[in-house]
Amino acid sequence: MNVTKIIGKIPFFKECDQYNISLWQCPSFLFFILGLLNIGAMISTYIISTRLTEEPEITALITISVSLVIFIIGTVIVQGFDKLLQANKMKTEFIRIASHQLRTPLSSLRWANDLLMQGGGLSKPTHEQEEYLEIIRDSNQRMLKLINDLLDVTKIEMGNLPMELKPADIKSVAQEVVFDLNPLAKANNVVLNLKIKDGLSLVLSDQEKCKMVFTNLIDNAIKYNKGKGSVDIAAEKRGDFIRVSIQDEGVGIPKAQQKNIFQKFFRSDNIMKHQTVGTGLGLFIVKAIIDANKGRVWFESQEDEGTTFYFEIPIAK
Amino acid sequence: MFFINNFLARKYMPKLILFIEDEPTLQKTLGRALEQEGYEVQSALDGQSGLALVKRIKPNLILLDLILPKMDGFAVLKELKKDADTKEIPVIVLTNLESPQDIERALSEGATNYLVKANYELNDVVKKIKELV
Repeated sequence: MNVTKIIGKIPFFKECDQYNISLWQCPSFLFFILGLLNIGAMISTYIISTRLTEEPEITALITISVSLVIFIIGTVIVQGFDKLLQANKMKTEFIRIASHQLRTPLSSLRWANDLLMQGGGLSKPTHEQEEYLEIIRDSNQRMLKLINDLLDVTKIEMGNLPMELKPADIKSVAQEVVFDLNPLAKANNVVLNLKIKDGLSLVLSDQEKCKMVFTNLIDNAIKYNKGKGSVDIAAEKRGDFIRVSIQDEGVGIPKAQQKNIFQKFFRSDNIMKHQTVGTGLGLFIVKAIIDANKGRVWFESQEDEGTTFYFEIPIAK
Repeated sequence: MFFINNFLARKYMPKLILFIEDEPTLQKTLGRALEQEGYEVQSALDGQSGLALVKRIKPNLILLDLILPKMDGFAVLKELKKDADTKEIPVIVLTNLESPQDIERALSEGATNYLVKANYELNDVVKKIKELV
């Protein structure tokens, strides 16, 4: 592991390090190994063939043809990896373009809209105008969320989800999220019950990412309620972990589709009937974050009765 | 006398913020919001003129985008921190890049704060600025 890291720092192989490609998939490194292998093969076939035959021409012929075969096979393989490197390069570029070029106009839109809504020295909008400004704000936010989710998925797939693990208080994270999501809950006639007691041990997590986990799970619990109901958020200590549960009284997940629920872009049939907004990325991201946090996430669900999502993350020591 | 003048100026003049950003719409919205809060805002649309303006007007705070024409934000930051005259001016990087490499690089080169535009409401950005000047 250490050796490969050091090799990765050599300028010749730096490109692979930059694009997060393991050394054994790095074309320039493989080419180098191929060269060594070829020299080794030449020497050994030379030694073997001198024992088999006295004729120097035949020895040379055998040596050359063996190394030629190795070289051809190797080149074909290395070319395959080179394509992989190019694809990864394109993905990284895509992330940069999406994060900058797509989000910049959306930020402009968001800020200009914020300014109009606050008045900002301009005339304050009428009640009716405010309603339309809210529509712009919500659509803008949905689009930003979609782009952010897609960016997160791309990062996860490239094995590049940055986690900054620090002691964090699960209750205050949950409180923040409940505060943010309360308007959405109210609009859906859903009551959010935060049932986390004070004085629970701190967890070792990334505060922002942990917030994302709560946001995704509670947002789902609200959205997939049947028009009204409640969502209970609780947490307790379990050995070296804190176990959080988020329980809803919603539509539930059909048995046959339960195994697919953490897959990317997956949305269950009954949900599609109920709620068309959503990308099927939320739970995929949740699982990736919890995995990176050395925890686990699972659920219990009964169709038409509700779902409880659980996750466990380690206590900070 | 000079010191007293300087002191009074610092205390009672509106705080000056330089916003280096190539997107005029962002300049306009954030600029307006900051003026509402009593700041004076000057803008530069590229890195080179931004750097020149810093030396001339000595702002109390710099808001810096990273992707800029002529000279990118990292280069501007480096120049600012090299110069003893401008080294002490706090710089908030305000961008939409958010890879850990970019964040780490900006902070290690002396940025005071790093904000991803798309993740903040206008009010939140203003709040972060108020914390510094």
